[in-house]
Amino acid sequence: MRNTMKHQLSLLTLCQSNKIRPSFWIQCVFILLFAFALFGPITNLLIWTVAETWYFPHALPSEWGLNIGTKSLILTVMSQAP
Amino acid sequence: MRSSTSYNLWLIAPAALMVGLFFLYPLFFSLYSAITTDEGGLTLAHLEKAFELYSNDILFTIIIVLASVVLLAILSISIAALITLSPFRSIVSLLGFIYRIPLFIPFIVTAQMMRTFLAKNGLMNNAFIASGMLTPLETVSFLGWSGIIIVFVWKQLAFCTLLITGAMAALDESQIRAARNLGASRLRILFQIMLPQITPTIGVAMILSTVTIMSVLSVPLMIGTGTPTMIATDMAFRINSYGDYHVANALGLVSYLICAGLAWFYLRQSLKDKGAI
Amino acid sequence: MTHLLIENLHASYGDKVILNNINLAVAQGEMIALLGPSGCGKTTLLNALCGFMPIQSGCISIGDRKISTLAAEKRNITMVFQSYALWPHMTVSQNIGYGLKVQKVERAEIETRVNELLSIVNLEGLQDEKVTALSGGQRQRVALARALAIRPDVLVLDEPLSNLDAKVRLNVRHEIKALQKKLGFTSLIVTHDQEEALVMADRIAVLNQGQIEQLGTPEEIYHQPKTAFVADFMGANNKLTFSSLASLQQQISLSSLTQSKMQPSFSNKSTPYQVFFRSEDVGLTTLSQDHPKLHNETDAIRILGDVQQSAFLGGSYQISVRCGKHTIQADHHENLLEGTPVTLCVPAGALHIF
Repeated sequence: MRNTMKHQLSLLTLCQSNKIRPSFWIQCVFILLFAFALFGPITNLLIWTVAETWYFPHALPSEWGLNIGTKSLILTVMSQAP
Repeated sequence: MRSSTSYNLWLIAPAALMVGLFFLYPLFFSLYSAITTDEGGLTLAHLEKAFELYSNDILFTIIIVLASVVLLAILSISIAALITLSPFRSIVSLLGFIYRIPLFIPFIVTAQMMRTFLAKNGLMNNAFIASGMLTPLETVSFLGWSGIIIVFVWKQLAFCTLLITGAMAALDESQIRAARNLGASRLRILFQIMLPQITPTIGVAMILSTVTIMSVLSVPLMIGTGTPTMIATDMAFRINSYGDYHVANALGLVSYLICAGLAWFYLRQSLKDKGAI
Repeated sequence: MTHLLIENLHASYGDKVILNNINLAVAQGEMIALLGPSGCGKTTLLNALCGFMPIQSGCISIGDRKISTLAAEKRNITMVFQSYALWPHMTVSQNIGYGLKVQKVERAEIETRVNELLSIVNLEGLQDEKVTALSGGQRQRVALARALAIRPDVLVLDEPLSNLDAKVRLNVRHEIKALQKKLGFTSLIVTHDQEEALVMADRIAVLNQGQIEQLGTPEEIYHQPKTAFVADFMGANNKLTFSSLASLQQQISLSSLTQSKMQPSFSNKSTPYQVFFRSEDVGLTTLSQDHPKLHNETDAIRILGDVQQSAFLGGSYQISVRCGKHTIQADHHENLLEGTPVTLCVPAGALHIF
């Protein structure tokens, strides 16, 4: 018990003495931004696979569904490509 | 001795034949086609025509490649450095897992999801509006040159980071420890101890990424705005719309030269580092 | 005067305890060898000292500066690594001067200091060589100079000689020792080689299973091992087991036992008696046991056995003798054929009994 407390205390002093807090937060923010950039597009793709109609500027689709014919990935690609 | 040499030749013959038939022959045929007429005489007309029609696109391609490669280098080195050097193991192990995801998503799917993500009315702007950071009137579309760069960086980052993290992890741990107990900070260790030793790997990652970027057709088609566009699109257009293989091959020659130029620059640099020049 | 003080140090990997209550006080200018088999925690102790691995509890201080909570780069303890850990993209002088460069010392001063160190470690003229062009011994000297360049409070050496050829090792061993005497730096050296520890260290700490078994001068460790483990590890690797005091007393008198290296807990213990001795202390003779010559020395264990194997060591032969269920190694001046009956005679003074 005493050892655990001592251990925690030493961890606390470690944080203060090295001033590692700012770098910790910078790294957290970097990783969060990275995760947003990574998962944003993937989420977008996943939402579109279950969305029927999705108009700007609604945050989420107004109609959901799984009608393959209207949103087959390949069809979308082909029809939208210049 | 002699018989073993001929035996060895027979051993490599099938592989050499495959390389010759399916790689060297098409390559040299396309190069030949770029500088000859239908009758077989040498001409620079196709190259002239390619430059006349597409010099803007060639410049555009070079800018896209350079911008992507620079961004890729900065980001992949930062992520790899975080993964190897960060003292906060728990959050970094998460990073080490998620960065690989784009490896398993094909270019065309990436392009498709980015098209709806980056558009003026895409999910990204939606999210910004929903969070109150933007009003619908302030939204900007990222489709076009910036979108192309974003897609290439997004997709290739995993590959570059994988190579660079591997090279960093292969460095002797005690080399880093030696620098630390001499008083060097992590940033200093990254720039003075680690990066100088892994430049060959960074070079390889960047050159392979360049070749990939030059060869992808779907991204400029789906994310680009039409003009200017990348060389790969122009080649597809020459062939699909005009059946004009000569100019397409001339453009191929140009993109080949861009890649070769980068490779030459890299080789010269790495030789210089070794003190050979 | 105590310079480096380690108090109640505990460290573990997950549930596995690696260091268990380590206490060590090192005086200014002293060289301590941490000796033990692989896995005993000696390298972990160095890593904990340098800040490369977290500790569970305990305190490390240098003078009145508490360092156990500092990051590795702020401790001013430098390490010489087993793999040398030189940076291959730098020249010899860049390697040596790196610590000074980090401390933002002026360029001219770095140059003077590097040249000074080069002459100290006998590497003059090699300053512009790539470290990859050097031999193992030269590399280790560069590593040593690099670690000494920033004038560390404590220098730690992690098996610095184990990657070197046997001959080079002997030279470098003496060079490091001489350098330590000359410059007077405080240092800890990790080794699994008992001879290396005896030659180099002022004091030796024998580690076993994360604990210091015995701390003492080389002479103390060698001649008065406190535990069976230390006796065995320091080369007294012949072991005989006696089930009771009576069976031991059949061989030697109790009076001689009190003179020999007997432990205080000796007379009232219930476990079997373990007797350790070195092969060089064993007298071996082919004479029969009742030969009068053998009874000149009264207080000695006498054992009968057959020669099992004989190995030439250069100066002498090492003879393996099978005595019942024990195999005993004895040094002898001549080769003996397998199966020769022999008598072994170990004087009481050479015995370590636990």
